[in-house]
Amino acid sequence: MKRVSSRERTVTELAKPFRMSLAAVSKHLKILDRARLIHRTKRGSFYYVTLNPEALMTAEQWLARYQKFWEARLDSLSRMLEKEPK
Amino acid sequence: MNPTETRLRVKKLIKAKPDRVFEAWTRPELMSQWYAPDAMTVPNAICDLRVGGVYRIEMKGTLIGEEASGTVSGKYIKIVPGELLVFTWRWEGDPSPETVVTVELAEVSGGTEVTLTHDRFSSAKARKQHEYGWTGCLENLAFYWRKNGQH
Repeated sequence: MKRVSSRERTVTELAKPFRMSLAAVSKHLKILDRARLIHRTKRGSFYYVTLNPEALMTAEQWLARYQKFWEARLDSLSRMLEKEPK
Repeated sequence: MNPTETRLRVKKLIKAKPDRVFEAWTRPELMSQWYAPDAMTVPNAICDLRVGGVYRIEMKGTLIGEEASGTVSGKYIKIVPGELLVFTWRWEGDPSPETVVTVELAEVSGGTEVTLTHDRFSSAKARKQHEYGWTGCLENLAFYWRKNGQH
């Protein structure tokens, strides 16, 4: 994530520091794309990857992201408090 | 709802008293136990619990199988212990304007009903947030004034 936050990068650039095949990196990026954490665009034969800043999200994307985030956080909060002795 | 504003609301019943839920939101050692998503942890959390005070939560670990890190921070707008917490929300490094999170706690039989509202404003609205923050400051001052006046 850190590597895409500063600027647009190609998949080859992103894969360089990792001991992973291009295919494996692409698979991970596909998951991040689906979670709308990054944005992928294809130009020519290359995919370019950028971090999806919240400002660029549509209302639906933003809602979907935080709905998931807060529901999971409140579940986690509830687990922590209900585990504690009363 | 204003069409330039997006509002998300999530409710959850928690089997604990409102005071304990409030502490979990405002004490760094408790915040670090539940704030980070997925297989992430909170190595560092700070919280200056006063209107205008800053909180900051660092998150590290893996998210959907990927090495990830992120820090969220903001300022407190309204604080009513055991009842209400309003704060701004922004991911560091993301140039997007800050958003506002409101956490309301209501005592119900069996525990506390938590109502979380997250508001995203258009940029015009974001500018108005300072105004909102100031109104919050003044209301809070009035609250403590009343409270102290009772002694």
